[in-house]
Amino acid sequence: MDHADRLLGRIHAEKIRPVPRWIVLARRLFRLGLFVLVLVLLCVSSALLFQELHEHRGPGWIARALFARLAPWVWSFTSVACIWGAWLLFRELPRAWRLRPWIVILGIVSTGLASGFILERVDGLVRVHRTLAHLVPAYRTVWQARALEAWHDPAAGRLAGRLDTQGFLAVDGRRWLLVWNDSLDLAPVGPVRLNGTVGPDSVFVVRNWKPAPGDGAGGSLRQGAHEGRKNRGW
Amino acid sequence: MDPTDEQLAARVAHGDEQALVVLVRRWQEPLRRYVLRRCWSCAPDVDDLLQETFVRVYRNIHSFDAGLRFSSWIFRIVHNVMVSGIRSHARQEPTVELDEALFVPNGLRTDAPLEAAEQSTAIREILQGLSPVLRDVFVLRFLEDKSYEEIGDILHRNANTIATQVRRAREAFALAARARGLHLDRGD
Repeated sequence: MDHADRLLGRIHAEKIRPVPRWIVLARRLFRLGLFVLVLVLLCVSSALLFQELHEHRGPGWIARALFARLAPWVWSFTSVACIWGAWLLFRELPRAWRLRPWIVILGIVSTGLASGFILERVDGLVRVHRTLAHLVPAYRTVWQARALEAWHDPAAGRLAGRLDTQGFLAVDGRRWLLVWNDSLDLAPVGPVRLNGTVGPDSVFVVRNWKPAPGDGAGGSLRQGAHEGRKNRGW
Repeated sequence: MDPTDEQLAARVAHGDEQALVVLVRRWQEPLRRYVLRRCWSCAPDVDDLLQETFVRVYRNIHSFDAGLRFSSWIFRIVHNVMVSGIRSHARQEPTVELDEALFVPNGLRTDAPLEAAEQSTAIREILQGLSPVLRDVFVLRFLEDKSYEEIGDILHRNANTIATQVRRAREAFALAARARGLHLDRGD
């Protein structure tokens, strides 16, 4: 059977036309864009994962508030989902199947995790937060309050709140009497995070302190008591 | 000198219907053979499958990647059409007579003189016992004589993966064939 005549007849009868070149190019660009987007999301999610691990490191970090407990797992799951999504999308790119699968997956994982790690180390996300906070005051209020609530867990030796004339007012509304370590001759103003030990009668022995997220020198989330002397001025 | 497939594809993309006619006439028999070798239950509908393949070729001519061989691209399309066909023809036996020579792999020799029809039936039964993945690579490697790179481009798999699957398919085929007095000479 000669298919050529039958095909031409069908093409004319059904008015079949080739898919325009611009649509083909647009589809390819869309797939490529989607792949890059998923890779960026992987980078951000792994940065958030590292941030959560960093923020809540120390004894008992996994047993803190619900947000603090779930966040690392949420971002881990998101990272794995992004790796899987990136792999599926990469396979749709032209001639991508010629590469060995394990090289592609290794490339995606190392690119995503390494860039996420670097983004977290240079406080890239905090810069985004700070920019947003500068532009949108309501965003700053919500973000800082949430971060402080996540930090606050007296049983684990972590207080979040602010100093006032009557003592220390924690974010949960409870008042604490602070006992400062000798080397911490500071009187921080504004919201802070404290590390230390809970004593009797709402006494809290402060071992070190951190400014509230975004309030440290340079807005770093990692500003801690060991760098407190540099922060006296703020 | 006849134009290459790639040149014809470029002309089809510019609206040359005669180039399409030449391409179709050039590829209809190789594709028919491939469909019958890989999916004998598709035999009654092979013309419809090929028609659908050529319509897809025409419709997606701008998607043809000049970095690939045209043969790999058109085999990929017919493979996809055939896989859809296999789903709808699963567990059906062909009702038409098939050419026995279609199922004789390159390099096959027999210890016992078998009738062509018997040999063809034996090979078909052995192929039927392979998994679809191994059957794909076996047909493309030993019946269609494609290189690993070409098979990879058709099945969208890495050439190293194909090499491994060809080896597994060959071993599985040889194991089943030995019992029937059939041997593959090729050392791939």
